[in-house]
Amino acid sequence: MTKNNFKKIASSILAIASPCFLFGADAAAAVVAPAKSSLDINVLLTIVAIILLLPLYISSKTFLLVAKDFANKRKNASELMSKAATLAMFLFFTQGAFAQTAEAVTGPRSGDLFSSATTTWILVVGIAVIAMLIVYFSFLTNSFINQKTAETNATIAKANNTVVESNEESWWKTLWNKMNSFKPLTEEANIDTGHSYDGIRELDNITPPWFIAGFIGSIIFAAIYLFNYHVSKSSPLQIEEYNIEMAEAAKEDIARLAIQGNKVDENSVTMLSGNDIELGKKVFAAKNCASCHGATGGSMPGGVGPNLADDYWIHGGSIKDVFKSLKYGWPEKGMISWKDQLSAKEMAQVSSYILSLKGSNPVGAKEPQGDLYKEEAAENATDSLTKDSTITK
Amino acid sequence: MSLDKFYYDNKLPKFFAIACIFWGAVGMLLGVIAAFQLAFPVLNFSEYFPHLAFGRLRPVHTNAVIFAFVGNGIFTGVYYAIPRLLKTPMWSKKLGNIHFWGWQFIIVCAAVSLLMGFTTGKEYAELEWPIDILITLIWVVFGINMFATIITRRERHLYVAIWFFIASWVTVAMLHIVNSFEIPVSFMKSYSWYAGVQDALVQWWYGHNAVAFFLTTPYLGLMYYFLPKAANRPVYSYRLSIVHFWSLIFLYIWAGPHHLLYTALPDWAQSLGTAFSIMLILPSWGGMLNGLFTLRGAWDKVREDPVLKFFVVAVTCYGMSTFEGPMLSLKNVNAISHYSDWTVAHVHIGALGWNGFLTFGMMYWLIPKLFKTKLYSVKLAATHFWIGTLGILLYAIPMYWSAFRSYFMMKAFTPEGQLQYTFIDIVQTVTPFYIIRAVGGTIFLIGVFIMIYNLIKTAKQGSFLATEEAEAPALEKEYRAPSNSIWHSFIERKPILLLVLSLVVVGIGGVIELVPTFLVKENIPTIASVKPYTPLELQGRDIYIREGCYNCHSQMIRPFRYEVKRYGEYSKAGEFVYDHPFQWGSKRTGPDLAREGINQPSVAWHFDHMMEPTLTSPGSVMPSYPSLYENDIDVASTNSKIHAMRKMGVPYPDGYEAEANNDLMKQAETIANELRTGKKVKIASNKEIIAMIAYLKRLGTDINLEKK
Repeated sequence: MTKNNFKKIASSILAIASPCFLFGADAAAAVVAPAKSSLDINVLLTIVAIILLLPLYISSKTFLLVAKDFANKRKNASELMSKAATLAMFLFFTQGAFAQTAEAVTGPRSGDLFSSATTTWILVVGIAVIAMLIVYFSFLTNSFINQKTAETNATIAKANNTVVESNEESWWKTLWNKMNSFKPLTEEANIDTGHSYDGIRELDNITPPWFIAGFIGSIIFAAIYLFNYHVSKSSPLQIEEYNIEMAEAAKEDIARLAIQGNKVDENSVTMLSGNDIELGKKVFAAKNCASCHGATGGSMPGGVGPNLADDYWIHGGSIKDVFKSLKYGWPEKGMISWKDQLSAKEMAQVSSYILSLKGSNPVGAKEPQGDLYKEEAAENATDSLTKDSTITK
Repeated sequence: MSLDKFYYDNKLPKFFAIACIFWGAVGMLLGVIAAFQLAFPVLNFSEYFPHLAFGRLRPVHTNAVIFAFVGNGIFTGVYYAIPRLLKTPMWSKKLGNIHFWGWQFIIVCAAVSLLMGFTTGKEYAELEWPIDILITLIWVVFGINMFATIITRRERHLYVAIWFFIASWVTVAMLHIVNSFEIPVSFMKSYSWYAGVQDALVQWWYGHNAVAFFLTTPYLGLMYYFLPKAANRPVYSYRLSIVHFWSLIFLYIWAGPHHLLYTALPDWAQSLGTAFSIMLILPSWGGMLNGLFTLRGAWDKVREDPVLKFFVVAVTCYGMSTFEGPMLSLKNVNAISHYSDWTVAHVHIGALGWNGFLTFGMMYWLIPKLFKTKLYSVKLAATHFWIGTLGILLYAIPMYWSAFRSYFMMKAFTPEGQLQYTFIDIVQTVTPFYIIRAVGGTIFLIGVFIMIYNLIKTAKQGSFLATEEAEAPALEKEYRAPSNSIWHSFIERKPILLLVLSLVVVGIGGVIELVPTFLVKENIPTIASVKPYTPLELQGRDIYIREGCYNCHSQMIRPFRYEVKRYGEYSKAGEFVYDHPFQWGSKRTGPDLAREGINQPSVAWHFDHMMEPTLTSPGSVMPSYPSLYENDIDVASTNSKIHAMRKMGVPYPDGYEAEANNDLMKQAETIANELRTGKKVKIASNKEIIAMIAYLKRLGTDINLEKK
């Protein structure tokens, strides 16, 4: 392969592959720090788009240069130049448009999911356009160079009446040849099997040595793998593995409780206030309690869950009762248990938030269910924690 | 020595080529629609066309691409290459025609029946029993025609491409027949003969080897014919062909269980799946090496010839996905990839890159030959090449990305030991990736349309060569081996021996994995509290299968802390003994439902959720199912369904068929009443939604009974 060929292949590969490397790099970044909201996708896409502009710029410039060079030697220069100019104009506009989109994204955001999704869309389409342009420019450049090389080769061939082949071989090529035990193409006739199927001949090259070595290696790996799990039993099978994982998690739980004193339960929970109520509200929203109890906590006529903003309670209206309902749920009625999804503290915050809704009289709430709950009475009742703690009227 | 004169038929290859491209475009278009549906659930048009919801469309997409696009691609190559490699026309034009029209008829039946909701619920084998029988018949017709051609050949030895065709034919026949054991309940409804763990093992033994012997080995056969032809270079190594052919078909069949790692499948079977997948790397690569090394001395042509460009990328993609596959079979990698978009990316590298690009290359080479002309535009073909490559990248990269992100979100715990993200958080995070993926798919499809235009123009500028004359001497009665022949050439001149050996070689792995799982009781420890489904639940389950819920929801909780915390106690083998068919699923676009009965026991919640998923789960991408509230439960089928189940050993009492509908009505009335009093809605107890809710409420609850 001549130097020239190598260069042009390398450059086109680089132009084509750069988006993948960039994508790859971003993917790696995402792995390190998984971001929560879907907004960051736009930021990432913007970065990708901006970085993509560089190969686009390079590929378009290269194309213009090559085109100019080519056109100088041709009569129809004007036609080509106009084509190139149109492309350059197009490029200019896309860059401008992109700068605007980028601005729109990095500028103040409404935080509205719809606008975010729209931006994502614009960016995706934009990236696709850029990528296609890069491909297009690289392709055009390549075809120009090909034409030129063909012309040059023709001239050289005419002059020398032979095809010039470089004898120099790079070190990796030598290594590659060795690894595969390649025979020079000129000795091909010696290893012809003589087979010819519809004109397809078969050579009798040996199987590449690294192939055989790799195959044997993989068989040894497989044998060790099976031995390890099923004969010597030195690695845990899946259920053992699970038990180990759970034991570790349990240890962590204990350690955490010792440090944080996060031991609120249905016996010790008290009504919280201030910031905790705000946090409780956030959890209420995040865990989508609204799907059954309404965004206001008042549910809705025909809603799945009861109204939480009135004075009537099916399972008791004290902070302790509410906490217990949250923690264990009332599965047969559709209220699931939250103890595996919320920490004790969070459950206390949500319980407090729910009780803070009392008297808010939300519009469109569900009719009362259960019994009227009076706070004073409950506070006097010391045994409100027994299983059917309900209510004194 | 006298020369026989004979004529190759080009008509059938042309027909198959047209069918291949046509179904390819249709299949890929459906894929693009399905991809957009995942990002924009409104595109399911549930209120107008319940037939087009993702759960029904996705199987049509996969079946169309595998059996219609790739299937017709295989037959194009086979009907073109085999006569030329054997120096004889195809044995029977009539059988060829039956094969062609039969196969197209099957495809149409498949598309229509899948959209109508007739499905067995087993991935890539969704077609119902009458179509299964039809497939078997047409496959036999194909086999007879192929073997009769081979028997009447004028070439003593079989070329490597034909070894692959023979092995593929016999293995696909075996896989199809074994996996399609089902007991018909009615016309277009059947239950898998196997249940639970056994069904899962058979299904993935089939599913994995459908990839192996439908998408891979026949295409290797095509590569061995078209690549050396297009490059005009000799095949690099005859010995490598022998080594990788036998090792590939022997090892491939064992690898099926790697689709079931960390499930309730016995550990020993899982380990076999992993070990054999690792051993599969080099035999798979043998094909890639022989393909790429054949191009030695022809790389300058690769730069100019779009056919070779497509072949090079196809073979490279083949090498990439056959390396990725074994990596995904490693337990720790599989823990990340299983149920995630990684698998989707992986199969599409194979489908778009290997099958797609090899088909495109073949078409760009073949169509000009068939029409005695040159390709209309090399430039357009090169454009197609770049667009296709870009499409693959834009498809695959977002899927890898989303797989890793959702994995890290799934297993994230707060410092307080709670799950950090809800399933909906994760859905919303990956949705933008679904959009990019869909754009990538669209770009790939645009490339296909460019190809179609190019090929039509090519055909128009040429004139079709219906038959090609050729001549060759007949085989001599007595055979004298050439001096340089090796032992393997003996097999190469005995096609039936090759057939039998292939069957034996692929049979070994299947027998060793399947038989113990069926016969050794310890593999599936029984759980006393697990009881058969009630008639209403059974009807609900059939609706679940009909709507293709398994395309997005798994029913298999793996033993990981973050899964158990999210979905409940991990699944046990004994829980699935009455599941004909199993519904473990392979991809979680939605959450696992193995313990839905415990996680969401509220009938009211399910009632709202199926009507409009975003009502109870804002941000959900699930389609809505308004038709379930209108359709009546098919009570007429209860009798035969219970009967079929009892025949397969599900312990309903004798004569229960007669009482089943009474029980069904009773249970339905209870649920309807609960909705009427709790939600104040008017709902008749005979609507499908009632059965669906009954089934969902039952899921995973049996094991809880035992604990109490």
